[in-house]
Amino acid sequence: MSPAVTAELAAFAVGPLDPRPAEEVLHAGERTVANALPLAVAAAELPATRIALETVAELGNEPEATVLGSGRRLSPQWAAFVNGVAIHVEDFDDTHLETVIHPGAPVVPAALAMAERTGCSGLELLEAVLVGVEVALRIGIGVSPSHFDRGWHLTATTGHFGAAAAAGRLLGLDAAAMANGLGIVATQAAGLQAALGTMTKPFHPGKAAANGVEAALLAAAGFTGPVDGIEGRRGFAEVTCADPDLEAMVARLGESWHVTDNAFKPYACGIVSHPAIDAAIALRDAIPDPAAVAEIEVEVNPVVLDVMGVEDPVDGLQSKFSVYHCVAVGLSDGAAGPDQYSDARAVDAATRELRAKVTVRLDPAIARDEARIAARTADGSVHRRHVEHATGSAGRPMSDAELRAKARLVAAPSLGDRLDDLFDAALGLRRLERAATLAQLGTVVAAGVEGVGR
Amino acid sequence: MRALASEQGATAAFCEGLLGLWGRPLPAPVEREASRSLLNVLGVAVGGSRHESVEILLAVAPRPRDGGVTVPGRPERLDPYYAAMATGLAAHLDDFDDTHLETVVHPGAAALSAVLAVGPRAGASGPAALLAFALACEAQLRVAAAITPWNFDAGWQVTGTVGGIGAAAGAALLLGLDAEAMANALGIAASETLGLRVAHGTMIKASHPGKAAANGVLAALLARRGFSGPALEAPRGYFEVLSGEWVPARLGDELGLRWELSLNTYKPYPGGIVSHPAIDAAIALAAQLPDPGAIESILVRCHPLVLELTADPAPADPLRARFSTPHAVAVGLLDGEVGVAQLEAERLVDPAVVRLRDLVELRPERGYERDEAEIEVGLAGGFSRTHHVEHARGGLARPLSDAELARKVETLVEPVLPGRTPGLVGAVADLGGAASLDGILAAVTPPRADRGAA
Repeated sequence: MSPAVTAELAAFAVGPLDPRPAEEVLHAGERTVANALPLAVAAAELPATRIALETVAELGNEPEATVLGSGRRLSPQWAAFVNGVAIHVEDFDDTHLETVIHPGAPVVPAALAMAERTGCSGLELLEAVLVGVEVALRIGIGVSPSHFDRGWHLTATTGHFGAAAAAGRLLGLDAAAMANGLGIVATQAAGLQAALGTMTKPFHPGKAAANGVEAALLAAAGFTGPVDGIEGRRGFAEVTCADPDLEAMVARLGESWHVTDNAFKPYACGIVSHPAIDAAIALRDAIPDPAAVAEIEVEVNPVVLDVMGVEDPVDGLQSKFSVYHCVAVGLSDGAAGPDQYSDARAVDAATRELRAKVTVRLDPAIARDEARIAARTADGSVHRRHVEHATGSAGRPMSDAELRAKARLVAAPSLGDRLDDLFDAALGLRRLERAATLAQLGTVVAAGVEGVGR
Repeated sequence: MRALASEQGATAAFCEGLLGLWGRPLPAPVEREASRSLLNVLGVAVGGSRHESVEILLAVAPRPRDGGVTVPGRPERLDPYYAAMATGLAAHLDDFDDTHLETVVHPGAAALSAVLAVGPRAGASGPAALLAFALACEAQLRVAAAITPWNFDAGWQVTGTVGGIGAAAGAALLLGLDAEAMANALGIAASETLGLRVAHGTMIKASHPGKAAANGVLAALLARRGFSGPALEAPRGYFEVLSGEWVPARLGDELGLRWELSLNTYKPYPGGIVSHPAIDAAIALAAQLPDPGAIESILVRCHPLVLELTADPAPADPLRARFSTPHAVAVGLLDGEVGVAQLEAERLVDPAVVRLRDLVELRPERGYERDEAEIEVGLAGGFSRTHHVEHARGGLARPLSDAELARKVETLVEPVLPGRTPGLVGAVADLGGAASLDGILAAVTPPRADRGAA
C-alpha cells in the first residue's frame, strides 16, 4: 500500500524534530537563510520587484510584515510574495541540484512573514525553514524527472508545499490542520517553465510563498483541503508526474535531510550553466583577449539546452537563460554576477559577437555539474579545459567566506556594513533571540536617518 | 511538443480579438444569455455567502485600509484580490452555478468575481460591466474548448484551469489594458493555474473559481504596470503542459460570431451536473411511489461519468453530498425535490435516507448521453417502477425558463437578504442601460444595520 504522503509530511512539518538535526543540517539551513536575505535586499529596486511591490501595495491592506530592502510593510502573504520575487529575480539563489529546485525563495519569505507575526525565536524560524525546504525537496525528488520533463517549474510547484509547511509550523498547526494546508496548496501548486525569461519566473516562488502563507492561515482557521492531496487519485503526484515515487517522499523522514544538498550559486544565472562558466573562466589564462577567439565549443549535459537555450537574448532577464551569453561573459570578464546580466550587457555588440561563436554539444555522459570546453583562436591554436565539479556544486561547495563575499557583492551597495550584521545574524540563526530581527537588519535605512556605515 | 507555426501568436491574436469586441454591443441572444448567467451566479453567490468556508476566508483575509470592494451578500468589504476569492468561493460552494456542458466549466463565478473586484473602481458603466462579464466567460470557454477533453482527462477541474485566464481577460478589459499587456496578464494567470480533481468535496475545491479569479485580477494589475508573462502557446507553456494536445481553432476562430456563452446552462439542483438526469428521474418517480418504505432496490442507469465523479455512497458532509448521486437519488425519491436543504448535514444521517442510499446501484451505460438517465425502483411484492429521462432539466434541450431562473434565485437570495430578489432581478435586467454597477451592488449588499454589526 502506498504511503499516506500528505499526512506523513504534515506530521513531520509540525512535530518535534526528533532526533535533533545534525550540526551540518542546522548549518545548511542557516546558510540557506544567509544566502537568501541579502538577495532580497539587493533586488528591491529591480523592475519585477518594484512592480510586484507596487501592485500588492495598491491592494491597500494593513501593514504587518516587512518587505526586505525598502522596509515597506504589507500583509504577511504579500510581504512574502514580494520577498520571494526579489530572492529569485536575479537567478542567484540556492539550488538543489538533483531537482533544480530553489527552495529558499518560496520557503524563507513565508517563514519570515510568519515569524514577524508570531514573534518566534531564531531557532524556531530555522526549524521552520528546515522542514519547509525538506518538504519541498522530498516532493520534488518524488516527482522527478517526469514532472520537470512535462514542463513544470519545480521551484514554483514544490515551493507551495514548502512555504505552507514552514508557515504552518510557525502558526502552531496540528498535524490534521497541516494536512489540510498541504491539500489546499496541492490543488494550486502551479508554475510553467514557459515563464523562463519573463518576470513571471520570479513571480513563481513569490506566489508560492504567498499561497503557502495563505494556506496555513486558512488551515489554522478550519478551512479544508484534500488530506490526500499529494498522493490521492487525481492528486498532485498522479496528475503532474508519469511515475511518482511516493516512498521517496517519506523515506527516513526526520532522520535524513536533503537540505545539506542545497547548493549556492557563484553566478547570477541558471545553475545548469555554471560548469560551462567555470570552464570559460578557466580559459582566461590561455586567452586573455576574447577578441582572439575564432570559435568555442562547449560540451555539457543535455539539460543545459532545456533551460538555457536562448541564442541571442534581447534583455538581461533573457541573458540568464543563454548558455552562449554565459560562456561569453565568463571568458571576457572572468565573472558572471548581476553586472554581466544587465539589459545593456545583453545587447552589447562585443558580447553578441563573442557568443555567436559559441556552439553547444550535448552529451548525456557528462554530469550536470561538469563541462568540457575547447576554444580555437585566430592563430589556429586550440585550448581545452575540463571542469569536473562546478563551483557551488556538492563536489565543491561554496565556503561560508565565499557566501559572505557573494552577499557583499550583491547587497553591500544598498546595505553598507549592515550587510555583515544581517549575514551574521542569519548564519547564527539558532542563537538569534527574535527572528524578526532579520527583517529589521534587511531594511535599507535612508541616509541621514541612521548612519548606514556605523 | 513544439508549437506549430500556425499556433504561434495565438495568445496575441486572442487578445486582439477580445479587444475588437470591447466597446461594441453584444448580439441580442448573447446579451440575453450573459444576463441570465449573471443573474444566476449572483443568486448563488448571495446564497453561499454565509457558508462556514466563506466565514473562514473572511477571518483570514487582510483588512483593507481604503474601504475595499463588495462581496455579494456580505457586510464586510475586502481588497480586490480577496473579494474576488470570496465571491467566487461563495458562488461555487453549492455547485449550483452555471455550466457549459461540453467542457463542464462553470464560467460565471470567476467572471463575476473579476468584474465586481475591478469594475466599480474602474468606473465601469453597466454595459461595460456586462460586456466584460460576457467576455470573461467567453475567454474561459474558448480556452476550455481548446483543451477539452485532454485537460479534464488528465485530472484537472477545468473551471480552475481556465478561470484565471478568463478573469484576467475581464479585468484587463475593465482596466483598459492594450493587447500586449493583456497577453502578459493572460500569461501570468496561465502560470498559476489550479484545480486538481482530488480536491472535490473540500472547501478548496469550491474556491477554485474564486482563487482563479483572484489570480486573474492580480495578473491584470501586475500587467498594467508592465509585468511580463509567457504566451499560452509557448513551448512548456499552458497548452502543452496542462493539456498536451489542443485545438487552436477552438480558441480563436469566429470570435464574436460564434459564442460558447450561448451554450451556458443553469442548474435546477445543487451538486455535480452529471447527477441531474438521475435526480429528474427520482423526482418523477417520487410522485408515483405510495410508500418509500416499500422500496427494495434502486437501479440507476447512467452515463459512465456519474461513476467517475459522483459515486460517493455515503457522503460525510454537505460539500461531499454535492458529489453523491446515491444521496441525491435517495432524497429525490423521498422528498420529491433536491435543493440545498436536502443536502444539509442532518439529511446525510437520516435513517430513511441512508436506507435508500444503500440500495442505490449505479450502472454505467455506454450508449447514454450525459444528460440521460433511467431509474428502476424495485418494490415489495415484486412490483417495479421505471422512469427514463432523455434530457435533464436545465440542459440545452430543456433550459430553465426566465421565470424558473428567477424562482431559483429567489430560493437562494431570500434566506440571506430577505426581500431583495425583485431588486436584484431588476438590476440585472437594467444593467445594459445603467450608468454603473451601483444598482447590482446595492441589491446584494446587506442593510446598513447589518454592516454596523459586522
